[in-house]
Amino acid sequence: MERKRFIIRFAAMLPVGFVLIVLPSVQTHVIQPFTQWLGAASAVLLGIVGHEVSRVGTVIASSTFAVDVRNGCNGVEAAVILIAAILATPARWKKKLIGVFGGLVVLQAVNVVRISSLYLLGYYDRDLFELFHSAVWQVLIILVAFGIFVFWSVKIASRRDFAAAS
Amino acid sequence: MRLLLRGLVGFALGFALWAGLTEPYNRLVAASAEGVMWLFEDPNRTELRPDGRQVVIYRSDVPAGSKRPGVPLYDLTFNVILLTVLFALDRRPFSDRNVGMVLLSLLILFSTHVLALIAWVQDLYASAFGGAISERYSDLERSVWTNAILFYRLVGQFAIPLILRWSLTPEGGDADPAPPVAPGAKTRTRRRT
Repeated sequence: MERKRFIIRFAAMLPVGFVLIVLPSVQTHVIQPFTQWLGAASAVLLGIVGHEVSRVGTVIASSTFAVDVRNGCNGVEAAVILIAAILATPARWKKKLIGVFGGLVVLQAVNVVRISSLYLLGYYDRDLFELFHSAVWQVLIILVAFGIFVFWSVKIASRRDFAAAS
Repeated sequence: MRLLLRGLVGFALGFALWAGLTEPYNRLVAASAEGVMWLFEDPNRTELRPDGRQVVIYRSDVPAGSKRPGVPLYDLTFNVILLTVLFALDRRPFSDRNVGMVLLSLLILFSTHVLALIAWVQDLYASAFGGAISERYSDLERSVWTNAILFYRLVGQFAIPLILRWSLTPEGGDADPAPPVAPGAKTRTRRRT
């Protein structure tokens, strides 16, 4: 019964998250700057591993290859799913906030690795880039969100919190 | 460690399924979507022809030689990999129950792929074809189709396998993503051997 309630709450939050992320003002003032920041962080990471790249807006480029970080690659969809799952869980709000903020930090750290690795794959092998871009990393990033949620629900949102929240 | 291994095996199986069966699967999804669309078209004008990893839209009222838009179907169907990973995380992934749930989930996922293809085609008709074809759609219809496919691509295609996993598996697995169980409810305990 509790699982059913959780699934209904989770499913109901998805359209809310979707509407929020597609609102033009949110796109302009939140998602675009955030995506640029992801591009900048990925450029820094690539510099650390020895690939000097330039970054203009959401584009990371060298003389031979460039990637444009767009919606779908900025991890926002995985974030919506993670947040919806955490908020759908009956736990104390303090722990939900810990889960949301901590989870988003971990998720976006992985996403920076994703963007950097996609750049490197494209730099060395375009076919592998296509494969990882269109399927592998999209699945992995959702699995990371899923893993963060499972970890949070098992380790942080305890049964006692559930009792207090329900 | 076992969980990770099961996840990796699930990923490999799902990836092999998706990559190996893309073309026949695309034919099946395209034929099904075309059949559903014909129920609502009079006369039947839409023909969906799989071409490699995409489905190309042919319409009888579009002159031959015109540019034919296509839908990259692989972009709508890769969530099958996510589904197989999620079910592979079960403690007994090859148990009859779990295999049955995977098959049922794949059937449900197939229907969502058909619906997503229809939504994408309708969005193209409403927004990209232009002329008399697009004029048949009101602003509201255009908005509905555009947002339907956008919702599927941004959120829905990832959420559907999760919802299927949570709906069709019992609580208490290693990777059980369910919220903490209700107080007083019986929980399974793991015994180390």
